[in-house]
Amino acid sequence: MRITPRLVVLIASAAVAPLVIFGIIAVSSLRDATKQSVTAGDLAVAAQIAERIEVYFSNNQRVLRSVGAQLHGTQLAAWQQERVLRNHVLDFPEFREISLFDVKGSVIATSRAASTALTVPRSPLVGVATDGVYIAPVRTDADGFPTTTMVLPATDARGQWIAAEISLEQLWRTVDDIHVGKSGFAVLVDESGRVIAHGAADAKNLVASDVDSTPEQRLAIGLRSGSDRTKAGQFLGPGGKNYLVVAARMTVPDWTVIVEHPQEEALAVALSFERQLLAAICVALLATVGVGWMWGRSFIRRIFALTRVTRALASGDMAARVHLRGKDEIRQLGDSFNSMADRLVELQDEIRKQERQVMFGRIAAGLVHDLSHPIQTIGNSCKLIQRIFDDAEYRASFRQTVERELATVKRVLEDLRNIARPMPLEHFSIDASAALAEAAETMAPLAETAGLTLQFELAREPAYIEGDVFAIGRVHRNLILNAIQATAPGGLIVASTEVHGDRVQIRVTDTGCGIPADRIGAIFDDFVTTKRRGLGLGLAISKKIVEQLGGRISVASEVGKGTVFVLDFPRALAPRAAQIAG
Amino acid sequence: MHDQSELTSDLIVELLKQNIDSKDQQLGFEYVTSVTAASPRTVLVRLSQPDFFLLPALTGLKIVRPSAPDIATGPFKVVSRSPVFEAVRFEQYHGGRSSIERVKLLTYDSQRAAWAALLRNELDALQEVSRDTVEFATRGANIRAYPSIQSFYIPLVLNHKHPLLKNVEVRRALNEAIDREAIITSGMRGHGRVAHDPIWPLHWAYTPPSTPLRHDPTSAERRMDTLGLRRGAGSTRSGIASRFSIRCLFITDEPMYERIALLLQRQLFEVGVNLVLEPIDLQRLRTRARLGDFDTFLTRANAGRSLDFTYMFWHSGDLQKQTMWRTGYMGVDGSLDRLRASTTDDHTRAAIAELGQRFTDDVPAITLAWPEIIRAVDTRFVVGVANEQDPFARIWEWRPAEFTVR
Repeated sequence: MRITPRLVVLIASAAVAPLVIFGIIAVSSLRDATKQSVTAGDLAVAAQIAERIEVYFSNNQRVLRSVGAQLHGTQLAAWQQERVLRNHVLDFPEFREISLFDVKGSVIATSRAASTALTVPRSPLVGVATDGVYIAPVRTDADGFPTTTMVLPATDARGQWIAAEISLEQLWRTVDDIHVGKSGFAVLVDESGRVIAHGAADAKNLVASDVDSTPEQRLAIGLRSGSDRTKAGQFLGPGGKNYLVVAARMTVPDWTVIVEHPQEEALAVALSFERQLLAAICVALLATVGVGWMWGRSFIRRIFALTRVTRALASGDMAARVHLRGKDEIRQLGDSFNSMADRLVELQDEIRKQERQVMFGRIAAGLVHDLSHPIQTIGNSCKLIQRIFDDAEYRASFRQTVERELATVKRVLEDLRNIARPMPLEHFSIDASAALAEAAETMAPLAETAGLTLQFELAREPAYIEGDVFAIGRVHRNLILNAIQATAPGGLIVASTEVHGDRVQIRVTDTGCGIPADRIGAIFDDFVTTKRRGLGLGLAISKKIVEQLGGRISVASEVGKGTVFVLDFPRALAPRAAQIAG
Repeated sequence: MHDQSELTSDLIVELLKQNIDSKDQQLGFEYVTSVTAASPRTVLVRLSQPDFFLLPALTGLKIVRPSAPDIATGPFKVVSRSPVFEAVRFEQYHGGRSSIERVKLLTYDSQRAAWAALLRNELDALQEVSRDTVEFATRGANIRAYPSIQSFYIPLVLNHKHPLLKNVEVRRALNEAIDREAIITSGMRGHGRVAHDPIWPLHWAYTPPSTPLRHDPTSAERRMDTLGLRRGAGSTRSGIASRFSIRCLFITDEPMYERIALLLQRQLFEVGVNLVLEPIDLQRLRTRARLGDFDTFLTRANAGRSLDFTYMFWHSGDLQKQTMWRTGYMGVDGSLDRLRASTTDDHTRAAIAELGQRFTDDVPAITLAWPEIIRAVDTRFVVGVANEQDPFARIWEWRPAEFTVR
């Protein structure tokens, strides 16, 4: 016996499902919490970068304001103004050029030894940021590098301006110095979506390029289109990795700082815990399955034992019992089953006893029926012979009567003996037609007495079978006698033989009362009879004889119309003497 | 050769004779009296007198087939010169087959434009990386920078016909006023080596001068005070109080020169010298330098790995020099002649040591720095050169680091 898959699924689901659900919920919660934590940390980094950049510009503003103060507070000559500007350019490498413009936008002094390339936008200035400082949109210089111009009013009332060209390459260092975890980095995007600085070593080609559809740029533009100052998300970044990304808008200048953190690295702790949890769940699952299998096996094994005993009982092994260990419900079920089996055996014994009693009653009644008449006849004859012993005719009649009735008694006793122990039969080739005709002739007076017509229709060709002539004759007589007893006066009995190829069939047909369908199946059993009296051994003995001779006996009957018994034998060769004679 | 023909001494003789007979005769061939093929593999060169510069001249001889200038003997053979110079691997190169199959040379308007192209993966290697951005080159994961000192130096060339600059004490004072380290740090982002004289410091026979003119503003002022060049003496109409004013030409093509010029101006102003900066384009600078129409100018000069260019620039009698600049300087003619006539290693070392001392004693210019040239090569290539060696000199030996698809 095997455990069915459905049972396995059922047990496994019951054991595993809660564990798996717990694992999923735990992992999901852990991931969410870690993501939130990482995002918060990255936002803090982005804010720090934004602050640094704002400080960078703030410092530049201070330098330029200092320059303005030096130029206008000290009545410097033009060459001195130039030297001041040049000194600042030399001392502050991020300034490529610093120039002083008058209110009309003409150059008053410049740090350039060559002519200045700077211009001041006409008033009112577009894009004036806090404190009147104008930071121009980032542009790329002739070499493709990001540059911006910062313009702020000089510190006097004459409407002069100080303008400086600032190389944003300096910001690269700031951004490059940002390391988020092992390989996280920062990206700086200007107000137009252009990448100004990129912390990923293999993505520097994006800096100041015309590429405008990187995920970072889309994120920055998306952030600018809303009212939020920060945004978090994730996308596929450099190297084809998944990145957790946060973006934060700056104030001055209006740029966006993006911090990208490889998801694998950001969630490393969570992933590690996730793996540990997964391993723990797997171990627990295996343990559950193992324990479940062991427990289930003992459980199922007892059910299987119960099933085996049930089947044994069903197949007739009434001694089969189940022996189960434990004190649980299965054990109780096994005990109940054993009790039921014990009770079944008791019931069976009682039924047998009752059957025996019924059978004994029937046998006794049959014997009484079959033997009382000859015994009574013999008794009456004995009484008469005492009175008329001298009557020679009567003595002869007495002798015949006693012999006939004793023969009847003897036949009843032989029948009983044959049921208990089949009689030994001789096998000779006999003519079935002749045997049938002989029996019919024997029974003809009885039929006639009963007001019946007994006909026989014998096959024209030889119908030899292997048989015992006396036994076959008895079968014939049994069948004809039954027909006589079952047929009302005026009825017809036909005894016939037929040859069908290598088979010989002997039929006894009557127009009697017929056998009910519910009883026809048992008429060849011992002590079964449709008659009100008698042992009911005739058909049982006939069947045994036919089968002993290698033939078959069958019956077809219809209540109210009649019955036909058919004996079917293999056809045999004629006896040698017959062959010689024939 | 690239056309599968054998290189013979006859071809070498022919090429040598062309060079010797050329109007632009190369230094080193002046004393050659005859060139003959002694055997198919031997060339015999006879000279009227020893010449130290013969070997550099022979090294520089371009071995090409006269009838087909693109048929040469190198590891790569030229397949196209226009619009892009392109050479392919010469499979039978005697030094071994190169791993590099094809070399294309692209030109850009500026170093920074080329650098931007390198960042965008449009190039595999860059001949010279801008000093402004080199620090970012080394941060790039796929780019490696190879710094090396080239045989070029940056001098502020002085016109010895100038009334003040012809005085060696003025020139020494100006040299002492200059903080070369600061110029390298601020003007060249630290990518250079101090140049005390115009002799290539990596030459095998070079020894640094024992008493170089170091940065000493006090000494510089003292020298000028001694000469009567006192502060305010040379004040201009613009109100600049100085000892004297001199003009400085510098080219505007590279931001570095303007920055160095500004630093020179500031440093000289600190000792009272007013350096008037005059931006100029390269063509006009060359013209004015050749005509001697300048006080000073800032440039980049070649020293030559074998000092041949040092000779040409600073020997007053060299014809080549006359086509470059006219300073009127004759202070090292004798030393250069002795160097040229040297026939042994010891003679050469002694001559170069003497030359270095003369450049210190009778300093002709303000030599500032030997710029560090920085090559940039994609890390997909293993270049395999030692420190300070130029990886571009051995491109044929490069090999792929690994097979990658970009």
